[in-house]
Amino acid sequence: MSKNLKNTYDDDIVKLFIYATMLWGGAAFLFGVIAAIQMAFWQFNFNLEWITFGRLRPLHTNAAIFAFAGNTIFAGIYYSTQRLTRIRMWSDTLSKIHFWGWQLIIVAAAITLPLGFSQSKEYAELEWPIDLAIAVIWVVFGINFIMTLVKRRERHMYVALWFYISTFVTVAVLHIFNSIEIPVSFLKSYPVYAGIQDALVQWWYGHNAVAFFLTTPFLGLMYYFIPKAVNRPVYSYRLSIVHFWALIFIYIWAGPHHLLNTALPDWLQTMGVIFSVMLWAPSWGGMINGLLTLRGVWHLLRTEPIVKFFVTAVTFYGMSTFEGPLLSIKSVSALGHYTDWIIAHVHAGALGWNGFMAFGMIYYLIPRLFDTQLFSKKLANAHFWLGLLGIVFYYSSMLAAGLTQGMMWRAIDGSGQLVYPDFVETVMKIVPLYYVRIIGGTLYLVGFLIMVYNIVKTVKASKGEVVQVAVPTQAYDAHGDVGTGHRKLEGLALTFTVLATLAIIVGSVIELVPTMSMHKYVKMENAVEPWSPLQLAGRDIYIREGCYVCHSQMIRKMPSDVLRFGNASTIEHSMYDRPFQWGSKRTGPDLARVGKKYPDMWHYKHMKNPREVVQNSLMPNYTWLYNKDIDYYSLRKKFSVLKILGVPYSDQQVANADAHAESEAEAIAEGLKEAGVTANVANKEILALISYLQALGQKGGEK
Amino acid sequence: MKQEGLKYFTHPELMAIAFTLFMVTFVGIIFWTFRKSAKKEYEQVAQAPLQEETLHGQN
Ligand code: HEC
Repeated sequence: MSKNLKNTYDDDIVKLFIYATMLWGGAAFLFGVIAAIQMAFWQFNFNLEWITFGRLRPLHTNAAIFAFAGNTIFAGIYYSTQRLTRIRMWSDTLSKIHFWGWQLIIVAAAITLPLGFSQSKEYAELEWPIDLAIAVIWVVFGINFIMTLVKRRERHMYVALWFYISTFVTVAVLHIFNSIEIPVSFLKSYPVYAGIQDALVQWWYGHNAVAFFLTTPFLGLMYYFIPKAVNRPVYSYRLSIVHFWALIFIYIWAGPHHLLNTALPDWLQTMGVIFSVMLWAPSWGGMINGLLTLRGVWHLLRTEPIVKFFVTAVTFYGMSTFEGPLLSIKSVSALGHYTDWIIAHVHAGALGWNGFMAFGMIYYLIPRLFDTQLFSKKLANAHFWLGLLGIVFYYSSMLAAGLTQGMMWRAIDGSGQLVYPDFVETVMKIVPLYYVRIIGGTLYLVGFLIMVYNIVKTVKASKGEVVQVAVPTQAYDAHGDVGTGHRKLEGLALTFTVLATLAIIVGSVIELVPTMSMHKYVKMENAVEPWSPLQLAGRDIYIREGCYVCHSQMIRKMPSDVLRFGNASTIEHSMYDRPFQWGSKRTGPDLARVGKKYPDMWHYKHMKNPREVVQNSLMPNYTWLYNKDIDYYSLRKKFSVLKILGVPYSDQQVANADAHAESEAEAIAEGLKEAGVTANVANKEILALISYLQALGQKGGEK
Repeated sequence: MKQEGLKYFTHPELMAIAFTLFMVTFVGIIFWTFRKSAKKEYEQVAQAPLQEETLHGQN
């Protein structure tokens, strides 16, 4: 065969991305199962700081989203884009840089997150050098992709490609704006946004990461692979166009539904609720479009594992996009927020929708890429049923846990008192459900491993390389006038990119810009004091350990929250918080006003072994805080960066930050000694953490 | 009480703009998508994934 490379598809890159998907998928699921075990048995971190829950959870979420789902969508995009444009990817070199660069980023994440280098912003934890690398690699991918569209040899751009375009554009915008930070050192930075701004930008990012990393690209895959798998066109092409524009236009506004009943201004909360509820319509339109593509060939559902995976995936897409708007209604959020219901929700989406789309795609692609048959259909079926059973166990247990705990938190008796004032009681109640979740996660992991075995066997049995030749379509030939014809093609791809960008920019600007002028919301007469040097050092330890994955610092404007934790948090409370620590999950109690609730000695004992003071606690031990020395050295630099960002520190405070912190630490150590601590705690990190915890809610401002 | 409720509802005009924009965009898309002349084109595009006339070859 002639070796005219330009006329063949680059399928090697697709294979690489599939292998990476399988490798990192295994890692992501394994981390998930370990994290699930830790929630039921706190000992399961073996007192190793690198895998305590606060550091493991970000590792798990990043692996699942960016490593597993990320490699999945790249595999699918590289395969389908080439076929839909009838041309090889624009540049093999860029494809390779994209692949290896992305894997390198994943490795960097897998090293830095366990070591505690984290910005503590969910799904954006990675520190600034890695953020930069992500931006560069993403642009490499984008150039390669857009240029392939421009050079395409097919007049039309099929709807899947639109979904990919919007993915590229939006993820770039989200990533860049959420990562604007000022470095303090090689692996530490502070975001330019503080408190409420940071919260809003983060959840604008966080929500749209779900929308444009886990939804739009997978919808593109759905619109390409389901028609391929059942050999019929999509049910309604028109519906897919409406689905596309309505979805990307509406999605970008929905971020504030992560911050309902908090200190976020009400007009933003309401806007977030309304746009979230509107998402029902395009999401279900899309689901129906995907499912009805099977009209007339439903029998394939019985015989073809690939079709089983795809159909179930789209069904989970429908269920998750039903549940999402439901959870965005303010009163439902009041019940569900901070509980395991949210964990149930994301796993229905991640395991059901993203996972099953990925598996269906892999079962579809591997035999075609190697020109062979799948090693075992039986095993694929076994994978399907194990996976589905796993999701059912996972979802139902966490839904029950969330509802149970949510109801217990809000239960108030006739005299206006909390029925379950003891927080740990509400945790103990749901621990049995954590056992069930472990079973669910394990089943899903086992199913996945069966797939890996099946795929390895398939590849081994294949005859070897297959090269697929690209053939331009007739529609393209009909437009053979390269001069004007091509100009028009290029124009279309670019017009699209611009229109999609506009659609997502509008919502972003209207929601984010007003909040950037903070003075509107922050009442200076209620301003709090900025953190002292030692408190800041403690705060950075809190961030490093990932306490925010179990603790919120945002008392909502609800009677049950106020009764339990004190007056609702105000905007001013977090006005100097970089990054904000409002949190999204309460495995432990809210800490916004924990300061001075207990003596220093209580925290000293509690952080070393929570069970010494709170029976049945499932919080990890933090023994290493008692051996490590406080990093006084960096404090001057940190203070000067924060001063540049607008925190009213005086020059003298900046210059004396380290000395001041030392004397603060000394005072706490002295107090602990008097209370009976015999160990040498001088300059140990625990002092800084205690100093921070005792300051929470104690910095003045509106009480 | 009413004052309290509206205190943080600082930008009703933005909400109005948002919905106007949404309605205009949405109605525009519907009209554009369902214009008659596009029917044939859509039928063609919808076939795109299915008509890959690729040649298979062994290295
Ligand atoms: C695995 C989840 C988890 C992580 C991670 C975690 N905690 Fe906790 N925390 C809990 C639970 C559960 C409780 C309630 C039982 C108890 O008091 O020990 C709690 C209670 C607390 C309390 C007592 C609050 C009160 O009002 O009684 C403090 C203070 C605290 N945690 C601080 C921290 C700090 C600081 C970190 C990070 C170094 C952290 N926690 C990490 C789960 C966690």
